[in-house]
Amino acid sequence: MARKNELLLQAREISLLFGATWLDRLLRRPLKRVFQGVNFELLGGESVALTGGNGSGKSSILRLCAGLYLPTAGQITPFCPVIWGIGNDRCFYERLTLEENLAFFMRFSGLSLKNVQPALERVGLLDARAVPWREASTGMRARLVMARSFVAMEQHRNRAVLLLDEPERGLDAAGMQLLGELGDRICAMGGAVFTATHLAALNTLHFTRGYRLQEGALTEAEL
Amino acid sequence: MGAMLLAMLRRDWITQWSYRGAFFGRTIACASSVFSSWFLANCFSGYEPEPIATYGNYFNFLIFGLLLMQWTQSILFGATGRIRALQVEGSLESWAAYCPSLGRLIWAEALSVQLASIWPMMLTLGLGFALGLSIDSSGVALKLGSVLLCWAALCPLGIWGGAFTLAFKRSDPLGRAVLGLSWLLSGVFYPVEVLPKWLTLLAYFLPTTHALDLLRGVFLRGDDWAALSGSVWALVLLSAIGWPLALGTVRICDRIARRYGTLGQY
Repeated sequence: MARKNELLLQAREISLLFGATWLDRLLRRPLKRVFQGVNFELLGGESVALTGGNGSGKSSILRLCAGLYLPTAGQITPFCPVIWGIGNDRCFYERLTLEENLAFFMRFSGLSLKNVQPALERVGLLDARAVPWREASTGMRARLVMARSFVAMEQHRNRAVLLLDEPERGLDAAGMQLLGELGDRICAMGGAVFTATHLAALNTLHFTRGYRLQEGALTEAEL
Repeated sequence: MGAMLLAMLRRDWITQWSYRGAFFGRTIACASSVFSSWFLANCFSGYEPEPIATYGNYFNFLIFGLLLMQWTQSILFGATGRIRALQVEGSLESWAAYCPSLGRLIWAEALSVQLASIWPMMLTLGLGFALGLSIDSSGVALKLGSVLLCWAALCPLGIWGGAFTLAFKRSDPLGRAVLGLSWLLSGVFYPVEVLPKWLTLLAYFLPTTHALDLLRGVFLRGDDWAALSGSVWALVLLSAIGWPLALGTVRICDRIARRYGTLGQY
């Protein structure tokens, strides 16, 4: 188990620019500066909100944390696994049921299938487990993503950073409360939750601190 | 890796079985090509020229051509097709967040397509036997080794295609060119010897030409590797060059996609 306040992820002077390579210049691609010289860190036991307007680069920061983007400059160093939880709901298969989709993810990740049903039960999807993904409602889909986050975090005994991209989309009040409980549990076990959101004020995820991304600069924000 | 592959095979089985019409359509198409070969071979029965007569008859020759091309198609387009589908669905970026490396994802997807292609190949072989295909029954280890060598020489092309698709979104023009040239030059319907000299030279650059020569020699004539040393060495050389090139391309293309932030784009 990770100790509270242990450094889990650190970003130093990271910049993200698209269209800055020699190939881009050759192909006359426009330069897009997302952000520059950004520093932040995530400690064990923290639930951190990341706010900012549309297109400010919140999702890009999460993608950098997950390793899906490489920074143009600077360094981002995770000291534990980083799980991209909510906001990553596309890797499900239309023809598979909710249960089969979760089982696929668990097989894919080398996890035991005995946790499929408890995970579905935890997010209130046990009765809907035979519904194919293509027929599932937005709320069901959001809950299945949450179930996947549960098992992915437990795989690492909650010593991990969970990334959530606008989790308020698709989840009802009960779903948000469930997510809040997941967040609390992760923080209690020494993990961290990093959430890009427009609704930090609602604070269902019990944010301990916040950052604001505006005009390419990241600053500490009041919650 | 094994668990990932099993998960993909199970996913593919559920998905394929939910489209039963397409499943049976492909079965009919596969059977049709075997029967076409049989009728075509009957037209020339007893009149086979020298290079074909050494393989028994024209039907034997054709069936092995068809089998290799089915296999080549699954190898060339397996990873490419799957990576492209993941890009279009938008799920490539999502899986990349969970998969330790994209190379493993490409590799597992490529293998799952290749394993799924075994059943039409078995169907082709089974129907072939029913219609008179005869193969040499000795030297099982040699035959297995020959299949593995052909796979090792062909597989880098598929991995390379998958990697290229990752970064540049399309690689099927190249795969289609290789497949088209293989149909034309590798000796699928006719021996390579009937081609003009300059085209024969081009044919020897294709791994399928050597793979067909090796498989037909070992399975139909019962040759050993010494008798087929030219093809064996060509396949060894193509594997030795192909694998490092393919794996290097995966690394570079993965980096390009992450640097340009295009994993989620198509």
